This record gives sequence, structure tokens and C-alpha cells, in this order.
Amino acid sequence: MPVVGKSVPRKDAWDKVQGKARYVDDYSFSDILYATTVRSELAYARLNGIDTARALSMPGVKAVLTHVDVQGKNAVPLVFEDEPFLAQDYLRFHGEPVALVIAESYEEALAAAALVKVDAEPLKPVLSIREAIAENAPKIYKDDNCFSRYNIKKGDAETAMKKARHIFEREYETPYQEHAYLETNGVIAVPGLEDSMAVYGTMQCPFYVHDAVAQAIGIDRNKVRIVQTTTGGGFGGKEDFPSVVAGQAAIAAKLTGRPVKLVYKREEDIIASSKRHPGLIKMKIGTDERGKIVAAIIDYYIDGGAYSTLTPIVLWRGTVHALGPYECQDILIKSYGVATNKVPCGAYRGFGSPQVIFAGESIIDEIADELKIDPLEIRRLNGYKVGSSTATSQIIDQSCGLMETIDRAAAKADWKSKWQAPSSKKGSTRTGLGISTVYYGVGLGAGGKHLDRVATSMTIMKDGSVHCAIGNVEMGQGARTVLAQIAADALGASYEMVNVVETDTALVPDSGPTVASRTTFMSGNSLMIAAAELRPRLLHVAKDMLGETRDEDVELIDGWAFSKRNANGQRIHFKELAQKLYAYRLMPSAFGWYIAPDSSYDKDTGQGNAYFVYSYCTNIAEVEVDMETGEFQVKRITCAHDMGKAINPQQVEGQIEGGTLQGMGYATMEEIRHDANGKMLNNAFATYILPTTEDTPVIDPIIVEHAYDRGPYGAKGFGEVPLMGIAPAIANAVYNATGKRIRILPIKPEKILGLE
Amino acid sequence: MINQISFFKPDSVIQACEILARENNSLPVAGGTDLIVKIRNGMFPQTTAFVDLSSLPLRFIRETDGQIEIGSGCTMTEVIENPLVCKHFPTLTKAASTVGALQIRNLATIGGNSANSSPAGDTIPAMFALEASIKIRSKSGLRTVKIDQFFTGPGKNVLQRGEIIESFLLPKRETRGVFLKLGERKAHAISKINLALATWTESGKAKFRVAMGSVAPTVIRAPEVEKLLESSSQPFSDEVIAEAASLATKAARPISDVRSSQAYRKQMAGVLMKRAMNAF
Repeated sequence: MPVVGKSVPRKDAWDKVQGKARYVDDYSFSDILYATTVRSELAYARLNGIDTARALSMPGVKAVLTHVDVQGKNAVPLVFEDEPFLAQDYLRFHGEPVALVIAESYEEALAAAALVKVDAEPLKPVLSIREAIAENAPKIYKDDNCFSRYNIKKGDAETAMKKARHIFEREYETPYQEHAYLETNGVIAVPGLEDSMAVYGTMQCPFYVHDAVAQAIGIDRNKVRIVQTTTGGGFGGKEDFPSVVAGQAAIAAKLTGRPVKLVYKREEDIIASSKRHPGLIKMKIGTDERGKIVAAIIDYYIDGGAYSTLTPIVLWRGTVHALGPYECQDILIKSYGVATNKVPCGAYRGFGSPQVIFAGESIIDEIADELKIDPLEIRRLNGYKVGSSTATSQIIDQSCGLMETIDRAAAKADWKSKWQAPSSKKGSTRTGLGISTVYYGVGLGAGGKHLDRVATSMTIMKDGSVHCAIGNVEMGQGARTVLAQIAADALGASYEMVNVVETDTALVPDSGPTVASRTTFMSGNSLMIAAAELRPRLLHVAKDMLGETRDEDVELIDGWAFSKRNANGQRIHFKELAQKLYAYRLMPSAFGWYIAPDSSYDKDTGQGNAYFVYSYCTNIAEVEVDMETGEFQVKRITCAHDMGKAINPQQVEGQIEGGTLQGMGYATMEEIRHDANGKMLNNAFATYILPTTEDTPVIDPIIVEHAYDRGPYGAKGFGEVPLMGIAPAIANAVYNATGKRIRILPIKPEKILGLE
Repeated sequence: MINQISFFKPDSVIQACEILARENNSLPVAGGTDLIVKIRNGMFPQTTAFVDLSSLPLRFIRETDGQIEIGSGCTMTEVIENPLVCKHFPTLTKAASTVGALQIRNLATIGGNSANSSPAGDTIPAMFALEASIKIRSKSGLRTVKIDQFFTGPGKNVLQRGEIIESFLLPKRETRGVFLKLGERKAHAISKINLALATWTESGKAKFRVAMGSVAPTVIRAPEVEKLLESSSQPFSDEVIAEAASLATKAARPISDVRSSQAYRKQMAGVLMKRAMNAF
């Protein structure tokens, strides 16, 4: 493996550091129009009418669109199709798109937008999980305010709970989290000949956008082309929402017959785009006298907001992972995705897991504390090893590095000599250590298995350079680099010769979304399939050029072919092989189509092989708390991750550092607030507080490799995992320092001092 | 009608005042770090004109009859790096260096911080503690207002249409002092609460001034604390420090808002007071 496992430079690094990368707002087309969105000022209202006359009379205004102008179906195609492209009949959250103003300039569009009059009759909104599930709650979605629900029933949790030696019952709450990607949502829709439509934009899931545009304007998919532009971050926030933006821009472009740019300001991006679901988690855990978990009953609620978007699948992942990586024979988990009159929530790095991980990793710490067990030992006692049975009764048959992550993180963080019980802490500045352990099902799992396939198109050009089109996107996570490494080694080309291009729906068929830490594994495998088809052709021409008789007598590595029996003899460069390949008229292209390993799920019991493989991690956080002000500093976080194989160790470390800091923001400062009428109060970075470099702790990444035999070179997938367990590690460290248990995120000085 | 906004770049301070007086709904812009964001978010929809103060001769720091005069156009960075300020008013140097982030400090002006009149503005408590006066210019002349007479509420002050802050006058004395702030993160944070303390010797006696921000509709002084400190002997005993902390807590009358709670702010007024005293 000449490049797999090496920290080769990123393909996109130079352009990005020099400012050459072009994001969607940097592009233009001749004759372009600009769109801006008129949004609901109310959280919940009956929509009686929209008066566009004054706006239409404004200079530069070409059109003002409302739901009646939607040429196709006024529904964003995700899971349930309950969200309209433009509000119809009801306004369901503050910030919901009601109309689009299309003008010759952005400023003219903005000026006219202020004159669109929305006639709406306010209704009483439902604004929290507790309000939505209250018995007498007004019904805003079907008869129970519930988008979806799941059960996991393993063994007999009620009976086992009765027999437990100790029972622990706690409630935890987690807040919204805003993705805060550097580039806001935006697209340009360009109408073409024969009623075709091309959309360029920042996105994670071009195939979702493909579906949305086709549906919004009612044309066949072979007339729709979606081109992903260099994407300035996603973190899940560009999974579902670009479908809304692209659908709207396409409606406007079709109507006006001109290109339309729709790019969001930061404030409207925060107000309207998806967020991490707030969570409410009720945990009841029974243990034996040693702290071994014998029964678990968990109720998990998430606040889906006004439309279901991805709530059903977010909820499914959280449900499966609700107990954490702990063995238990008797489990009952019930989960609910509820509707409220707030911004729809969707995907965010971790996808329904960070909420339950905060609860699970907090309660296990509480159990350890009450039973006077070292928090690390209780995890060793209960944690998954090869052979363990998960909450869905799946047997972990391989690639389980959890124990090694615990051991290595503990050694690096000096847990043994540093950890002391909270009762021993004194003084006005106190330090604490906290731990969390995490497991994470890679890929879409049984909940989304019908989407879990990817395509690759690989072409060897005449000059020996290799062009790869893939179905997963680069959004800053390093996909183009890591996949080029896999393709290079699988084919025998050098890394420099392989180019993996950004996703274009005209190049590969629907490959599902770029989510669920699936890209390295899925697209990597599909590249290996394509390479496996092309490589024999290269060996065949190499054999002739080297004067060998059989293809298998030839080796091709890192851009050079040579005879196996004479490795130091004649070498033929990949470029010459490519020329000969064309001269032989052998097909220089191949298609890779990879289907995820099987997974299963029983709808009634929740039992089955939920995901084909899991990644694992242990985080140890060290904090220093000022006992007078409650202010605390996260000094160091040690993170040991088992991702199977680090294809590019530097990128793995980058993912760990970025995810850890994002997790620290979630743990300690990030919070969206609404007023009593459901109006979002902090839709700007002056009031939505993110960590800065000054807040950044020392982050100590540790790579643990328990290879997965179906992964490309043993790799699993782990991009989301670094964020997921940071909040409980910090909360546990704060408890360890202060004796104060924080059960509602974020952990703030006010809460530590009890002065909220 | 599309909002046409005029942009004026006057040649002199007087001309700036004239334009501001003449143009209905005109706004002066200095660093623009608060104003531009507010405009972008539609907070001043009637605005018809901006008057750019940035190239006016308001960027000076000089000594004038027993006072040090700081031009309102000085950026935070210019204030922080000025040796006169650093020597005489360390409280102000410290306060200015906690405003926003470096990029903001390079643009935001000392005049703008007061003109914006946020109860959380970090240089304001320092100005209170240093007994600053504000020179206000209009086309008809000049008036001087003591800093504690300048603010009338959150975002509100005594400036009339056509008036701008020309400079701050600080009595020239060698002071010592501290500025303490609690924010929502380590940098680039708006204060949940801040506290400035300055002290100097006058006729052989120690004088103390204490001011706090984000604990009332405007920055406030804590005269009871000042009295206590001036009547106590140094080094302060633990009892005096505790008493001062308790008086600071009593003086604070904060609200709960997106940044913090009333109870926390009240208690922190005491903690910051204690820390300010221990910093000597």
C-alpha cells in the first residue's frame, strides 16, 4: 500500500488556502436574477392570503412566487413529504418560506420582499417536547403530535428491573445545535434547452436535490442535472435543506426562464435551516451489586420541529444506540419524534446519537459514583467486546476496538494517577477528569438500507491520469483525498495521477446521501470494484510490454509495472500503459457499484443486525473549574478512536480535532433560544456562541485500528464519532471537579453555581 | 420605492455635524462594527444617509491642560497601544483590549463604544472609573458632559441630532486599576458583567472609583464601595474586601437575558469586586 495509511496532502488544500476555491456565491451566469425569501413572522398561523401586488410593482422585480406558482408538487421529497417548498394553508414555524421575490438585483429583491403582505391568523403554537406530549396538547400533527416512534424489546426489562440490586432513574435534556458551516446555503438554478434544469450549489446530497428539483418543477430526472460546487462545510446541515433551496430556485428559474441565484444570509440560514434535534431522555438502569447492567428502560424524545424532514431516521439511529456500548440482556427502549412549531430539525454529525450518548454516558458515571467504582472500570465491566450482544441482539463478530480505546486513552491521559473522587477536591480552583465511551453504527443501517449503495465511474485517460466520478461529496471532510488514495492503490496508479471530482448527477447514478460516516467505506469499496475491473487490462498490456507470457507474472504498484521475477529490472510507467491500453482498444473505463453489507430490523421488536459494523471511541476530558464564577476551562481532551484503518492519519486527526471542538461547543455554550411566541432569539453569531481558538483545549488524538474485513483496506467510517461523546466527557469532568451534576446541556457557569 | 441611501464623507467635524443636522434620518458611522450589522438586519429601516467620520481629524491622543484628551475616532487598538494611556490609565487599556476580537479592535472606535451606549460596552466602566468627560460637538458649538450624565438607557444617551462625540477628557493622573469581565467564551465575547476599578492619590489620600456594566440599564458606579475603600486602610483586610463585595452585589440590579441570569450577575458583581481588590 504505497499511499493508503500515509498522510498525503489534501487534493483541495492549495486552492483553499490560497483563496482560489470558488463557492456558489462566487459564480454567476449572464442574465442572472436574484431571489430572496419572504418568511413567516409567526410560529403557527392559518394562511389566508398573500398580497404580492406592491412588491411586484417595485423596480427590478420580475416575479413574486407563492405556493400557487409551484409547477410540480409542492412538497419536499424526503421521508413523509409533509414540508412544502412554499407555505400553503398554514404557517408552521417562525422563518418558514412563504414567498420568493425575484429581481434583477439582490437589493431590489430585498426591498420588494419587505412589501409582500402575508395575511395570517395566529394560532397557539406548540413550542417544546413537554408541551407536545402533554395529554391536552393542541394537535399540530395528526392526533398525537408524533412524526414517528420506535420500540426496542430485548428480553424482559420490566421483570429484570424488579430483580436488580440497584436502580437508577434520571432525566437528561439536550439543546439545539446549529451547524455553523462557513458557507451558508445557496444555489444557482439555470434553465437549459428542451425544458432542462441545472442546479449548482453547496450540498451534501446531490441526489436528494435531484429528486427535489424534479418534483418541484415536475420534469423527468433525465432533464435535471445537479452539480455540487465546492462546499464550505456541511456537518449534516446540507443533507436535507439544500433540497428546499434548490427546489425554490428551480421553480423561479423555470417561471422566469432565466438563471436564478438564491444564497442565504447567515441570519436566515440560522433561522430557517435544519438543526440538531433537542432531546429529552428518561433513563432507568438496573445493575447488580458490582455495577453490571442487568436492565434498561429508556424513553427518548426528540423535537422534530414543524416538519418531519429526517426526524424518522434520526430517531431510529438514536433509538438503536440509546443504551450506549453496554451489554444488557433485558432492554426496553421507546422513542418518539414529536412535532412542534419551530424550525424543522434534521441531520447533524451524530444524527440522533449525541443526545442519548449524553444521557447514557452521564448515567453510567452517576452509577459508578454511587457504587464507588472507577468510571473507567464500570465501562470495562459492561462495554462491548467481540462476542457481545447489542441492544438489537446483534453479535459483535469482529472489528471491536472499544477496550483498546479505553486503555490507550486512559494511559495517555494518565487517568490512574490523576483521577480522584469529587469528595477529595478542595479549593477555589478544582480540576476534574471525565470519560465517555461511544459506539456508532457505520452507514445507513437497516433503517435506510434501500439507499445504501454507491456508484463510481473510473476512467484511465490517454496520458495515464485517472478520472474518478463518485456519488459522495467532498464537503471539507477530505473525501476526494482519501478516496484518491484508495483508488490509487487499488489500481496501481500513483496518488498524484488520480483525481476524484466533485459530484455531478450527470456522471453517476443515485448513490444515496453523503452522511452516516459512509463515504470512505462505501465509495472506497465502489472504487475498488471499478479498479478491480480495470487493473487486469493494465496488467495485460504490461505483460506484453515487459515480454512476459502471463498477466499474473506482472505487478503494478504506485504507477509502475514490472515483472514479478525481476522486480528491480525494467519498469514501465503508468502513462505508457495507458497509451498501450488505448492502442489495444481496451475499454479504459469501469463502473463500480457497491451495495452495503446486509443489515436487518424487526419493526415490532426492534431486533436485528442494525448496522453492518460499528466504530468505537473513548474520550477523556480534563477541566479546571473556578468555583467562584463557575467558569471552567476544558484543558485537554484525549480521544482514542477505532475506525478500522486510518487511510490518511493526518485527516483522521483533523476529523478528531474538529469534531471534538464542535462537541465542546455543544457541551458548553451553544444554544438556540425562542421567545414565548416561538420566535428565534439568537440567529446570529453575536448571540449564538461558538468556541473560538482561545477556548480550544489541547486535543490528543489516538488512532486505534481494528480492521473490518469488508472495509476498503480495513476501514470502517468515523467522521461523526469525534463530536458525539464530548459533552458527557466534559459534564462528567465537571462533576468530578465540583460534585455538581449537569443534566441539561449546555454546561454553563450559571448552572454550576445553581444561579440560572 | 427602493431605499436610496446617501453616503457623505465630510471634510471637517463641523461639516459632519451640519450634514447630520440637515439630513433627516442620517447616521454617523465610525468603525461601523455594531452599526453595519444592525443596518444589515433592518434595525434602522428609515436611514437615508450615512455620514462617514473615519477620515476626520478625530484620531488623536494628547495632553491638554492637566487632561488627556482621547479623540473619539481612535480605534481600540490605537488606545491600547498608546503609551500615554498605558502609563496613566491601565484600566482603560485593559478594558479596550477585551473588546471583541482583534479584527474588531482594529476598526471599532472608542467614541463608537460610548455612542452605541450598550450597557455591556467594555470601555464605558473604565471611563466612569477614570472620571471622564465627553466633549460633544455640533455646528453651533461645543458642550461637555460628565460620563455619568451621558447615558440615559440601553442604547440611549444625551446626544441630539447633529451632535457627535469629539473626544473624551480624562483628568491626567497616574492611576492604577483593573478591568474584569465575564463573557460567554474566552475571546470575542460580549460581557455578561464587567467591572472597572481605578485608584489614584489625591492630596495624600487614596481615591477609588468603581463602575460595573451589564448590571443595570446603563453602566453604573458603586459609590458605597468607593466610600468604603476610601475610608479603609490599605492593604485591605479580608473584612473590608468582603464588605466591598457585598456592597457591589447590592449595587447591581441586573436582568436576565440571552447571555446570563439576574442571580448570576448579582453574585458575580461581588466576586469581581473582590478579585479587583485582590489584584492590587
